[in-house]
Amino acid sequence: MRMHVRLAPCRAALLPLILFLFNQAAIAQNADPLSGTWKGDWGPSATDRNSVTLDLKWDGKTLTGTVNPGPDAISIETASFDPKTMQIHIEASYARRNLRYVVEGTVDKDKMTGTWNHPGRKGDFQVTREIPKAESKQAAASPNLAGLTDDERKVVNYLLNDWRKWDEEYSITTVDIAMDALHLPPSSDKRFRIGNYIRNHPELNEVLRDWGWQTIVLTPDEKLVARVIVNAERDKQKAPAKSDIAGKVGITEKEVDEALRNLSRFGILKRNASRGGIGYVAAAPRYVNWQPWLDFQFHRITLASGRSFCVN
Amino acid sequence: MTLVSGKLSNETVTVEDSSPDGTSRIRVDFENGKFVKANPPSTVVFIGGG
Repeated sequence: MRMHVRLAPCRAALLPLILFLFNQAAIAQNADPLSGTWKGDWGPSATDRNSVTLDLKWDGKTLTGTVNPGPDAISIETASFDPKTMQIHIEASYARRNLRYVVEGTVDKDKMTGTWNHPGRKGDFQVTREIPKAESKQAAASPNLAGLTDDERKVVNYLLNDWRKWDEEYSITTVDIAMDALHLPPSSDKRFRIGNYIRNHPELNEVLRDWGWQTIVLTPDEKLVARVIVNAERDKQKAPAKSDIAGKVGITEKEVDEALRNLSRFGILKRNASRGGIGYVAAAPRYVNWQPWLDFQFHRITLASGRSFCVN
Repeated sequence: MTLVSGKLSNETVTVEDSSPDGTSRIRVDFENGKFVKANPPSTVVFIGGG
């Protein structure tokens, strides 16, 4: 039997579009969540950290790879990945020290965090996937700024333009500086929305991947308040009182409250009344030892013209 | 310092900073690449870099 199907003109025109969208959805769904180079740090405690690089290859069924590629590379012996739960399991032996590591992690977009152990020791790790340069350049050239308001888009575009001067100015300009340069009134809510966007889009620029979104999103006040609290925690001292923080950072207690509110919203500090004092602690162990990523650093340059930017 | 004595050597530049592990604010002023003043005055400024 011969079937003859005729679509109305408008439906016929829609068909390729539907097929195209279906194809794009399938591509997005099948995007490799794991293959590539992951860099970060691991250690038995927040103050004892080491750099680590993972080269992973996921073919949809089998996970293979190497830890710290190079002369001291450790081959991954057993590994698995469940794309439904985004859980990863790795076992690798470090022959030189006769140690067998077992690693459990969770992949969240281009971040992976988890725990490791070998007989006698255990700890945690966090790594970030490196974005291929071609992909990164494409993202920077035409960033998808969906979901942001016009003002917020202007801020992100200002930052992307400024960060391109990194080669000659080492610019890692921050959100608050961009808002000020664009004559936008200070707004924690607006900065929070831009910050969340930046945190979720490390592909936008190498500056974000090298220096961390925290460096770009937090104000100097917030960075210093975070330092006072995490340094006390690192040194195993009681959490400082609000008045102590205000005195050390040189701001009012009201400004301390505002900084704490934002640091909590960004998931950097969390409430813990048992620590005494202000009752806040680092929300993640890595923040206690902020040196590896220098999350809380700032070097702000201001010229006589009024132009400001941050450098590394 | 490389920037202040290089690309910004004809500028009036203010650098606001903090010691890496500390919480005190530091402000250093430069004029045409030359150091002018630092606050707090006890700030040690290494000129030259490398």
